[in-house]
Amino acid sequence: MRKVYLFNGMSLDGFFEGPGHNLDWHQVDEEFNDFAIDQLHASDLIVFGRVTYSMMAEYWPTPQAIADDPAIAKLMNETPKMVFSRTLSLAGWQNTRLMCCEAAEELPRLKQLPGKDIAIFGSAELAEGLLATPGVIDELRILVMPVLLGSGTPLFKIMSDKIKLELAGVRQFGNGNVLLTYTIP
Amino acid sequence: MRNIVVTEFVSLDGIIEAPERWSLAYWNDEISRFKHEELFSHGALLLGRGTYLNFAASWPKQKDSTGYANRINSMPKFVASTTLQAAEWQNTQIIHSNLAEEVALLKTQPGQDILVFGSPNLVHSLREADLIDRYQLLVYPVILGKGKSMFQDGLGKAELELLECRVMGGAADSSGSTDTEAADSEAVEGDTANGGKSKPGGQRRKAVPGAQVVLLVYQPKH
Repeated sequence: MRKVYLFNGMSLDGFFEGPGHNLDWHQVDEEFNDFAIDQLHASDLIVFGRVTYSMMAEYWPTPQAIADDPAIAKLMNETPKMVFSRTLSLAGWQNTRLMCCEAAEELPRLKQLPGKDIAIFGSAELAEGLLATPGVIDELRILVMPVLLGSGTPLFKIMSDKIKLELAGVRQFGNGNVLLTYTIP
Repeated sequence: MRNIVVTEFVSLDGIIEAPERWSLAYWNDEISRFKHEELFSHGALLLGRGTYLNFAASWPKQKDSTGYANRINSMPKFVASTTLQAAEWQNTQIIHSNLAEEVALLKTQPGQDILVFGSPNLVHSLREADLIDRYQLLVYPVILGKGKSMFQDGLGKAELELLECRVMGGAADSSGSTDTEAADSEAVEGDTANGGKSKPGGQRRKAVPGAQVVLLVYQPKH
């Protein structure tokens, strides 16, 4: 069965974004891009919440993105996408479906269909709700970056129940980023 | 100059409260060896009031064959507290005020490096005063959802340098490199997932059963 994984960056002090959706502390280099390309090749659906969708939809189709990161831009633009939102009225990014149903119900159904892995990129608010529903997210891929932001939005919010994980892999990048991969049993 | 080394058991969501409730199930020889060597290669403890009180209530009653209890009981200890009147655990001094100045002074005195366990409020103050030289974090495979976080909100940004990344008890010495994408197939020799291209500093490890804890060591960039 295809799996649903959540991929997000996190500062060592647990923030996925600095104040004002700030992501300028993300370190992107060739090694990361190679990883991102491999990850996209193994995925045939990318799922977003509204905020991450809007940021990515504003960036990846632009001539600048296509010039700076042609391989990733092509994959991001061409891979089928879903954005789960009750407030968006239009999702104009190429190959995107606007979903107004519950992601926690839709994703388990999609997992039953044949295909490659299903990615959730960023989308911390959507992910928070999905994490609270057992059996939706199969794997966490957290890229821990060597920085203390001091303030921002925590990746993991307060939850009533703890979630036990199983370490599936650790990858150290040359720039000091560490990718921690966990399965959710 | 003595370094201030913050060492923590931490959940994936950054919580360090009451590790005895969630970390013990993952204990293994490599973690044990690491914690032992850590204590014996440092010369003093610096603790916040809460962690100090927990430790002081428990360690003096303990004995173990490795000498850990004996070492922690006998080594010099400093507790940062504005309210504590007396510190009865042997060889403990109270730092009542001027924490940043006192710790800066402590760092200039001769001796081995100084360990900070737990103590989230103290860690916050030390970070605010830019007195932390190293973070040694054992990251556990659990999202706790609530509890006291290692890092509190409200300080500025600080860039770090990753010094070490190791799965405790894991396949750290394995020659073949594997990664998560390859985890479902046979172990991959070289980086076939990347067309055989070498990756700078790219060490990939697939976890083995029983090896669930990741050691991350950082120092601030200055």
